[in-house]
Amino acid sequence: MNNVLLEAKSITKKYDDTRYVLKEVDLVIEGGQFIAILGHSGSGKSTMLNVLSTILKPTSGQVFYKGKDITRLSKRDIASLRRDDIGFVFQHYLMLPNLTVRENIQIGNQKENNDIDLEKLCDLLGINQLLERYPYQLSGGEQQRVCIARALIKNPAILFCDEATGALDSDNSKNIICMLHNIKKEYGTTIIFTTHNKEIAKTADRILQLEDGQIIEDYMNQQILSPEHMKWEI
Amino acid sequence: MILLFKYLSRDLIKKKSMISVLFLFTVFISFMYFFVHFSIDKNWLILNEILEQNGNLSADEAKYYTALQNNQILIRNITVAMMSIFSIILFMFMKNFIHKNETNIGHILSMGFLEHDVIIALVFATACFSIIGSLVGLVLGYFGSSILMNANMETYLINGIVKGINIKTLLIGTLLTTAVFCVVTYATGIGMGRKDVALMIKHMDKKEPHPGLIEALVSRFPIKDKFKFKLTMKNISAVLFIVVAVVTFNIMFVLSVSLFFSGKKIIETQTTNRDYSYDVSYNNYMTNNNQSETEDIYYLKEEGTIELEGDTLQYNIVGLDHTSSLFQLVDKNNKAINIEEGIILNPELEENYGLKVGDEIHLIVAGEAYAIPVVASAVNADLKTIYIPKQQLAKMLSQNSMSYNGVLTNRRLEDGVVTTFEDKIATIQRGLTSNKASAVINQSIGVITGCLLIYLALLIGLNNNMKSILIFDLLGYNNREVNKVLLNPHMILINIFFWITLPIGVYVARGIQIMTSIQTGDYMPFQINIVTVAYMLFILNLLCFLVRALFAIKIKHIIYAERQAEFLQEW
Repeated sequence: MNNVLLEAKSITKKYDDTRYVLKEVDLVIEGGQFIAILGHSGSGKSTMLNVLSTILKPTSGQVFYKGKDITRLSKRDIASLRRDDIGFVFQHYLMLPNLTVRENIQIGNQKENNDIDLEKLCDLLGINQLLERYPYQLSGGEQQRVCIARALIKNPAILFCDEATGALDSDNSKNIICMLHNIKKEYGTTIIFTTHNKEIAKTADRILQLEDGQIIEDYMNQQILSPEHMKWEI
Repeated sequence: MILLFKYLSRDLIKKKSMISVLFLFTVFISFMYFFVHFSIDKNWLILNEILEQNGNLSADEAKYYTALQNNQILIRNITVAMMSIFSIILFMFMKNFIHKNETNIGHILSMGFLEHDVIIALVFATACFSIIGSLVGLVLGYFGSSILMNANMETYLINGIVKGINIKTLLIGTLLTTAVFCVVTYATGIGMGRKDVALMIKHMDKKEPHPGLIEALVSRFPIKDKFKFKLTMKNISAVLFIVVAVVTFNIMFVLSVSLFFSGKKIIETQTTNRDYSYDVSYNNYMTNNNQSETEDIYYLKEEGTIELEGDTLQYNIVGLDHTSSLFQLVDKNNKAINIEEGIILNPELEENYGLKVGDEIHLIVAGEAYAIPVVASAVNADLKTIYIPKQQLAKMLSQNSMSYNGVLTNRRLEDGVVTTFEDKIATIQRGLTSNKASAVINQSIGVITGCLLIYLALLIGLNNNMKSILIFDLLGYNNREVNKVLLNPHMILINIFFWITLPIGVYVARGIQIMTSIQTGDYMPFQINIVTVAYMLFILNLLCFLVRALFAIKIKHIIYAERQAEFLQEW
């Protein structure tokens, strides 16, 4: 495996000293994949995503990004990693309400040299006409597309999506999944997507199934479903 | 970084009522500082130049010089006090802002911004806010200073009082205050990044909230519906803020009322049991062997030094051998004091320096030191004056017992320097108004500040209950019941805090007034009575009623517009 991007070794996360959310999880992620982390509510999928993406410290274990242990990085180095290499999309959009769409996207990019063109990205996500609007003027689906644009504007190596379609209706959800696949194709971004929806998982290259804080299944998807053909029955 | 600043500052401005109150605070602080300094700085410089060139000042100039000095001390103390209070409020406001915006801040951190970047953006917003506030205060202070200058002109009969400020004062009033507030904001943000970003985004704490001190405390009280108070007091910082607000309100109010009435008290004491028309003084010692045959009071007066622990006071020592209907010294119970061996105190020494009957005073008269016990305290003693038997003072001055250098009389005497009683009182009155003009204006602003603080604290307290209120609404409680459960306990609490902290307020206000009185050298008797307390209670409850009504209207609007979910969702 030469293309290892992210590696988790024996990560454990517990709250209140007794409540285990993740138990000794090992994981290797290669670049350029769309990975679905599938699990019920409370299975630990969001916690795993947060630990892998540096926004939650594990109680024990290590996470390596391109061979470097990111659980031991300084705050400044973690910030730099998030600034340059990691993008996030959350379930509840989390747009900054006082900034326009354009500003909301721009705030996601702190790189001096950036090869992603804002207009082109917005075109791809179908939000070009919304750039001067404020979040309250957008629908949920539009807000989520703006959040994806904000996460991608810096051209991150990995995009972490935590139940990114969880607050959307079926049409909007389908659109978002299609767009994420297009982005993977266009920019080669690795996408890690948590969901409880099996149909979404079917569109992924690799599926990890979590239960009680442990990976109970981890397999490459041999029958990848095209997002356009998803049946939206939850 | 610019976008981060833009977002945070816009989000701050969105909190209109809080920001307006905080802005008013900065304007008040700046206004108080500049309106006094605009009327002092240039004149202080001019008088100092005159002193350097001539070596002395005219009598009016000297009095004005002292008044300027006093005003500088007063405004320094008031500014420090106001800035301390404001710093506490700013700290709590920023803490609350960061807490409420935790999700968005966590989100910003997830984009690769540092905790430091967020803090710097907040500091920058504070700096802008404070600079604008201090500049507004500066402009208002420039115009407001005319009032104080006119008062000074009338009091000291000095022409050529000019308006002006020096660079140092300007920098202190704008940049230094801003720097202090920036440091406070910076301190608020420290530790923000200790929490995991994921938990910040979900607005979650690592540990489940456990019932704490407040719950334990409420459980111990034998009150009905304890849950109301548990809900009201669930946010300890909001409760603490209410306590701080009530204490500040108490201090400011008591101080203001006391300062206002202290002048009246002085005039009252200086007119009590005095029925003479003239105070005649002589440059040389005179002798009259028939002193006891008239109603007139012959006295000996000499300037002496009272030595206290670490302090020396220049005081008039007046020797009397008897009092009469023209002038009678009385104690607190309005009982006449007999002149006997020992010192009769005036209220300043008793109140400001803690001297009492039985204490021994170290006195220096005509270069000789004496230790004399205090035998009584006269409420109507002259300002800066203590009394001893005339015979005793005559001995100290090596004069015979029939000597005198002053007479209190109703007869128009031809010799000596004659001061009418009316002139004497007018001079005292003039000194009182001039020296306390800025103090009273500043204290009035202090009272407004106290009221604003109560408004703010209550608003924060009620806002913290917004979620509970809306949950109660969704549970089917009607408006009246919701108000009873969640708004009324605040009113009860604030009244309880008022009574509990009133002694603290009185104690601190008295301390401040005594300190100011000692520093300025002007005696300001501390004044408080039941009417003051009733007045304070009325104002406090009026404020509570107002805030409660405004808040109830706000809640009603939310419920009518069916926007409960919007306020209840975590995200």
